[in-house]
Amino acid sequence: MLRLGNPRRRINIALMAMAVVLSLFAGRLVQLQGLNSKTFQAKAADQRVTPEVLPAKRGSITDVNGNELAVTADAREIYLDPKEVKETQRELIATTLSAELGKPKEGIAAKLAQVDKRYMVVARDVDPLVARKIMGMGFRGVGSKPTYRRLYPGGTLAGGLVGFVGDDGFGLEGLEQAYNKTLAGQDGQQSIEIGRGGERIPMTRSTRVAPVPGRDLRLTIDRYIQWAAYEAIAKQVKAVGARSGSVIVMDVKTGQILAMANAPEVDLRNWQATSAEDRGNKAAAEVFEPGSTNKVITAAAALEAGVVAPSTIFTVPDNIQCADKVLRDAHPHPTEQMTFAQILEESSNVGTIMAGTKITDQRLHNMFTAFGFGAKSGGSIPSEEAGLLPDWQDWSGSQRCTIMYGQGISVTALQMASVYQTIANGGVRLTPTIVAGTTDEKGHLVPAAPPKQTRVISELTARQLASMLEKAVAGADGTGGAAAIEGYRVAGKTGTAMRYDQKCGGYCGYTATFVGFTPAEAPRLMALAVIQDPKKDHYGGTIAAPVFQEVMTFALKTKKIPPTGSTSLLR
Amino acid sequence: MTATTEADEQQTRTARPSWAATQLGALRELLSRPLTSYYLILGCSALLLALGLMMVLSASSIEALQMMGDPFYWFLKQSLSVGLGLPLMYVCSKLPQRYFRLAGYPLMALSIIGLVMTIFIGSSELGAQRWIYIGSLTIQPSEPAKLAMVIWGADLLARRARNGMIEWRHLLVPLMPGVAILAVLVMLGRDLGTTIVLMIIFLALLWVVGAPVRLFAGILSLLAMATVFMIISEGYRSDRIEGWLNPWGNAQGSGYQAAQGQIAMGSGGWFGLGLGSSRQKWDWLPHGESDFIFAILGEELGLMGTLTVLALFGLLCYAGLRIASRTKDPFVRLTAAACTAWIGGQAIVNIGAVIGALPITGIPLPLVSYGGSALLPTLAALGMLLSFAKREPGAAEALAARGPGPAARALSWLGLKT
Repeated sequence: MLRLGNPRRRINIALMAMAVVLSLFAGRLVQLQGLNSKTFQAKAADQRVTPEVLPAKRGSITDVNGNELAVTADAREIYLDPKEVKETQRELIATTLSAELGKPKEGIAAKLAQVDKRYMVVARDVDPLVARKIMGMGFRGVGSKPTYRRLYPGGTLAGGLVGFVGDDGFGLEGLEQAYNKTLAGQDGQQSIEIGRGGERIPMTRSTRVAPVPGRDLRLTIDRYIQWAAYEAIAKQVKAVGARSGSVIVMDVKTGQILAMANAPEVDLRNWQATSAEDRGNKAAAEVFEPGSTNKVITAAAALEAGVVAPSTIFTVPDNIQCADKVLRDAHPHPTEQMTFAQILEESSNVGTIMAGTKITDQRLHNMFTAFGFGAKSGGSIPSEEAGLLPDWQDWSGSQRCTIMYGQGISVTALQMASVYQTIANGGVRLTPTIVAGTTDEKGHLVPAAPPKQTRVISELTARQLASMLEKAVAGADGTGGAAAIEGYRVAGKTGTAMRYDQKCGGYCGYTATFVGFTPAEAPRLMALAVIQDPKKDHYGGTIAAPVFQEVMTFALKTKKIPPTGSTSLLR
Repeated sequence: MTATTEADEQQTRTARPSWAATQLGALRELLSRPLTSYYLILGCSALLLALGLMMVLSASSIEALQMMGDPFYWFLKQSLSVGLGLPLMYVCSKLPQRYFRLAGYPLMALSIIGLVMTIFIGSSELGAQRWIYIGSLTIQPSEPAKLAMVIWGADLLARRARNGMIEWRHLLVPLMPGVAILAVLVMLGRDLGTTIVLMIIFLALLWVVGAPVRLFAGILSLLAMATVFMIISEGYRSDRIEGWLNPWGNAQGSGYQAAQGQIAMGSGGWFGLGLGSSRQKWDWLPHGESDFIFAILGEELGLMGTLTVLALFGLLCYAGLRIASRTKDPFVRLTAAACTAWIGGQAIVNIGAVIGALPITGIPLPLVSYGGSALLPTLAALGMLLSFAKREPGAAEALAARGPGPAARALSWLGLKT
């Protein structure tokens, strides 16, 4: 027989043992949850908190009346979590997504097969309604994330000017690139806690930096004039088999560009389809030798210097010796008596040289510079080039003569447009403007700073030039007859230049130009049409002038500029 | 009450004891009331059960939504178990002790049959074969085996021990073989946790009956050897030990659950993230609704919540041991003590694993964790303790003095009860 212990004592010992264990546990709990909780919170944050970028909404680009040329809309990114996708559902998911998103099924199936991956993007820029439909099917492992997509309602409308953004949301061309910082805004950042499967835990979001939406850009472009300009130049470029062409329409009194069209123009909705060289804004980027349109600057310099007047009579042969070269007029003619006005009207190279040689090279060069050659216009026009104006000391023997009629010097269409804006505006050059204003943080439009005004030539000279240019259109021997507009007085100048082409290493083909303004007596609008390398016909007066006529007629109507009587009386 | 107050005042005037002594006296008085055990068990069980149900809803909702498409799936199943368990507890609290003594052998037999069935037709999950599926019902026979073990063992020893004497043979036979059969059957199902609880019950029975201390030394050293052997024999067990000793070194492997549990506990801080706000339940913490529910509780309710749960288990154990120490009946004493050891021991092993004090053995927290098989025997045991508590000295009188309860009065008013 065995003597048993006292049960009550045993129970008390057990009670004490339990009390000791529970006290130790309580101490451990205080250590875990009270004293060391920060350590564990940090570990928890390490594995659960994931930072996220909150994309800022890119500002829109509108025309002068607020019509959208580029706009940002909500979109969804559809992604896969291949690890989560059930193997039996792969086929179904690939088929469904392929049908809904228009992506090849093989590509989606390949992404689904990479089961060790957790995040595979199937499509960006997905319409929210489509994304909602897909998410509504409740596939495990298929997710959607809000993003933005850039829409260009105008397609080719001002394509080169507006430009486009790349996949990463940065502007790659045009205004999208030039004003990227303004348009892009500032991305925000937030963090959210996630479950082990990557799912977002509700109500754990903490926003650290809110996104700052981009500013809207309002252009001076009028979309109707822009459209007419594009239609006209595109039609003509096609008709004459030209390489390209550009049209600029500018408000004479404000320097605001109303249209800046190129042909071919990039279709912003599918910019990848356009070859890289045709994606840009040629009107400001392409540099070419201007030809006869340049003669007004030589004329301006001579008039300003007081060495000639419009009525000064020259005896003009059809060729002239300049340094080592004999330079000729476009068409042979017997030596004749011409006034300076007639020289410009008939666009005589020889006559222009005879007048131009009356002033010094430096003086001529200064006039080019004053009109804005050899430098960017100062109006922050996207992808603008400065052209090539050699210093007068470097002019070779015959170059000083050819420059007078626009060969051996390179400009952009925008620079040439600016010259005629200056003449039309009584000799005061206004910096060409493309941006009317940007919105502030509250969305109110802040107008851009007024353009810089520079007097280039005297008002008298400007008036004399305008009247001479009017004769170039309306005069009996004028080269620009095709630019005449019924009911309006048009002043303008044709240009037909030999085109320097790097591809053939010399002069191949022509550049046909017409530039002018209306109404001649009180100018409101100026327009320039340039056609590069036309195959059928090549004279500015016959292929560029009709484009000018068409665009200007439309612009006059759009801007509701009343007819002021026609110049037909002069004929 | 008035008399007590007067006596207190008198005492104050004469002896002027300190404030602490007064409070201690009041507590002593409170604890010495006849119905203290009864109310403690009732109150603690109810609070733990309610807290548990709430935590099961919170902890299981995410996984239930992901896997079943219904966040309430497991909560509703647990509610059903509670709905079955509460009447069972009520019935047990009404039964006199002789019925429990009668239940010893049949329960033991049923448990052994159930465990044998588990080995042959049971389903294996997570390295342990412990479930039998009957239709949509899942039964884990090792849980009622604990209750069977308590009642059968207590009845056995109570009959053999006379006047503080027992024969060696009677002390160990057939108790020892019975335990061994259960333990071996459970171990065949690779359920280490339940084996440990069975051992705790066995040791508690021997301890309270008054077995000599040298017997314990022998059994404990035997158990230690067995443990070492089992750890070496099964690869996943040694992994678990490694995960326990160095959870952060193996945070992606064997220490993953322990590390995630500690992250949950620690990030709860003093006052917790708030009910339902656990983040670790988002697939981070495995078994957040069963074995590791204490971690989710700690995350959502903080230190205050975990200490409350600890205190509730402490009070429950205190009440159980109080019943054992106040009774004169050896069966009641042994049963009450063994039940306490079972519930308290299981709670300590579970909580210890969560807080990193003990290795993870995979047993649920009584009353709180998800699982009907564990809940029903536990509630039955607590009902049994209630029945014992009502038969403590003075308890019957106190219950009678309490008068009819509101329900009884309402029935009597309606003329349905006299």
